[in-house]
Amino acid sequence: MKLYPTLLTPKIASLKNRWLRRGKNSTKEYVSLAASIVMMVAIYYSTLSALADTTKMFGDAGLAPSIPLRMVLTTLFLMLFLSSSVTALGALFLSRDLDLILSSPITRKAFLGGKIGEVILASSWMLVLFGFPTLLAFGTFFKADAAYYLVSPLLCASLLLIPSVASILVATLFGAVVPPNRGREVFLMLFLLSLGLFFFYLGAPQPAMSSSNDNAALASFASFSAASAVPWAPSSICAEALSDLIAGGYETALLAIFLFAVVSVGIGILALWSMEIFFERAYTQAQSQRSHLRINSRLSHTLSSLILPFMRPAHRAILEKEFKLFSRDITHTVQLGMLLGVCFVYLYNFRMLRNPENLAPEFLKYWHAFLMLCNVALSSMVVTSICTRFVFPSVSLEGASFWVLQCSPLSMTDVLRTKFRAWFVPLAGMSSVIFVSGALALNADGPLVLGTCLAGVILCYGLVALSIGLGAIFSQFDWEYSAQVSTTLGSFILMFASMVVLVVDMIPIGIMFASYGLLPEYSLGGDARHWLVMVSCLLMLFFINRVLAAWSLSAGAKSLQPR
Amino acid sequence: MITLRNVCKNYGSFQAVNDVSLDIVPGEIFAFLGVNGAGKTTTIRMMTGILRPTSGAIFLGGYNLLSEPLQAKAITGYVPDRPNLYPKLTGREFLYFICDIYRMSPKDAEARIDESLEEYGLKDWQDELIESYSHGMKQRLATCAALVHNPKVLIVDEPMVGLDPHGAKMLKEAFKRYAAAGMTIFLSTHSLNVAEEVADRLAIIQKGSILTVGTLSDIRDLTGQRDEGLEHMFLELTSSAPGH
Repeated sequence: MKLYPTLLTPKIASLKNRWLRRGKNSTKEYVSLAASIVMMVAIYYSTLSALADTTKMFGDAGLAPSIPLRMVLTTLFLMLFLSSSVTALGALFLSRDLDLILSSPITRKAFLGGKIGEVILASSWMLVLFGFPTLLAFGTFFKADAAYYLVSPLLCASLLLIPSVASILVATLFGAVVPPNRGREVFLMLFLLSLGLFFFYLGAPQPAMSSSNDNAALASFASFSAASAVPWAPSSICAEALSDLIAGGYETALLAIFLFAVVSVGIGILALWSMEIFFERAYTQAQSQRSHLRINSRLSHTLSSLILPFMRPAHRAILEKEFKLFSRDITHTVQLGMLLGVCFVYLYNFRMLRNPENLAPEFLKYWHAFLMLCNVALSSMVVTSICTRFVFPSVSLEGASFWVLQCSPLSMTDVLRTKFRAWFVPLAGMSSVIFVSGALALNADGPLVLGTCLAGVILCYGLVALSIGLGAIFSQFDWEYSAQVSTTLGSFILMFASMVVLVVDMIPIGIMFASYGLLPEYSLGGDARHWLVMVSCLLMLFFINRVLAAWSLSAGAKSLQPR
Repeated sequence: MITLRNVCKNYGSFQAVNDVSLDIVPGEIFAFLGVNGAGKTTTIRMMTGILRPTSGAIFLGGYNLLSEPLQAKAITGYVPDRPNLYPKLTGREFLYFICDIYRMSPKDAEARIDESLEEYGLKDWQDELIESYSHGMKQRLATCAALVHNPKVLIVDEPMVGLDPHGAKMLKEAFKRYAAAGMTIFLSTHSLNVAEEVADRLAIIQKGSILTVGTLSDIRDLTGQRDEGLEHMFLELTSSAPGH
């Protein structure tokens, strides 16, 4: 048992030393701290405001706290599971300290305990930043007593222990089944699977919402997951327990804490068991590369020259390298698979909202305009998640090899611009699919689909540049495994900055969609006012994102200059 | 070909490199010696453009590294002490990457890559991921990458670390060959026998300052030990230096 904290000592000491020895140039640390506090306050007040608005919408029937709690907890639970699984995969198989740890006389149980602690440590900031102000807002809004404030953190912590422990089990089994050097094949499989799901989605019968006040549908929509409607899901049980706590009852909460602890221990035993059986095999697979992979380097280089003949060789080289490093890293493949799953669930749930049967026909256009705005806002958040996971770490992922670029006859501006292009093109394509699918799911008119698509591409332009720029400003080259990079505070700053940018971006987009409701029907070649409004709004949006992109890339390049 | 003018590097109040000035002529092999923490790697990192000097100027091939960094870097090859290369690229892909960023024509690149891989014994491993290479193989690949674009200046930090005796011998002979062809080689090393064997001139750095610069014979004159080897003179100079 004594070894658990021993295995965590280097991580805790590193964090402590980083803060204590931050030196004179500690602006980034203070900015991160300030942004964290601002974000927590913003989450607190926005939760309060959302609860007030939703309660008004529900009218006399009142809003049961368990419904929004279920949405929040399901989202947190899924986020933590996604983040923990990727961290666990890196911590178990790819971390640089593994040779030292595995050659020391520690038991498998101590190793498991240490790695669970490492996963929790890497993901706990997310829980504190998002969960704490939300719980506080619920307590304030529903006027809970002191027992709620005392027990709810314990309850949520015990709930969120489940994904951390489960992630170790999943990572061990995954590592045993999929050799890390087969990442490209898994990537291709996931891509084909997502294409299949997309076509299934387009061709599936359209579900309709029976009422705009349908609680289950709203919960399902807002949490991006049908899981929030499942009563036996841990997040649902936790929501009920918190709801009881708000009402002054302890029994359900204590039972839930006990239940979650038992489930965590159960999963922990399974993880230990799977580790005893599979870990050595999985670790050996992860380490033995030579017997599995041989690449025709000449062919792959010739192909990239043929595919991208118009690019300057230096830029093409960076682009080619980015693609190869991305596609050959198993942790990226897993993350991408999970995010594609989230996209699909998002699109599937969005379809439920498009035909409210009890809405007067004269309001239908406003409802659709509102939904179109929601589509752009929520799709942008999906793009932000992708940027946080993949684009933001792209500078830090140069890692110890960054000297190659530093010594090369390429300016950092050139390097960042090429990285921007490398990510913008595929992400613009991917986000167009998400944005347009959402618009099609809402039966939007042709011009609106076009407007949504263009808005999506422009938003993507700004978000990708912001991610590259902040990725450079908050670059961290001394990581132990690649998944660590996207769980740093810098990625949180990116999320915060992206939210601010999206709020500003929503102004021209909102005007564009609002004009749809206020002006007469769109028709191609018809009323020129609609086109004028649309083009003006898109130009304004482009201007905002162009300025943002220029600033981000220039600030990022400046921060990478030799010091 | 390489000029350092009053170069200083401070980290807060700590002075890592203090007023270093050097002039190295074309075709010369220059060894840079010093104990651990003397400031060798910091000086090299400034010469490669990774670190910015606190004061002073560095010229490579006549280009000022501060005002014309891209031109200076284009004529320079660098082999770091730790060969951290992109682990998920193959050896050949890494060399293609280097050739492209140094703007070599595809035809020249193919020929030079084949030649370098053959010379450094990596031909059989060219299509394997770098993460499967041994330390010595990575070191040889890093050397290939530094040389593949035919630099005029080669900066090498601890070249013999991780190399087996065959690799070390091959590298020493290669250095002599490159210098004879006109390449200027700046070599930082702990291995005094390497310096003794290949260097035309050498400098000893201690606590960030240059103790002495010159040929082996100059240093013998300075220490008054005509028959001693470099190791003996190095130990005497570095242990008698102030602050040691």
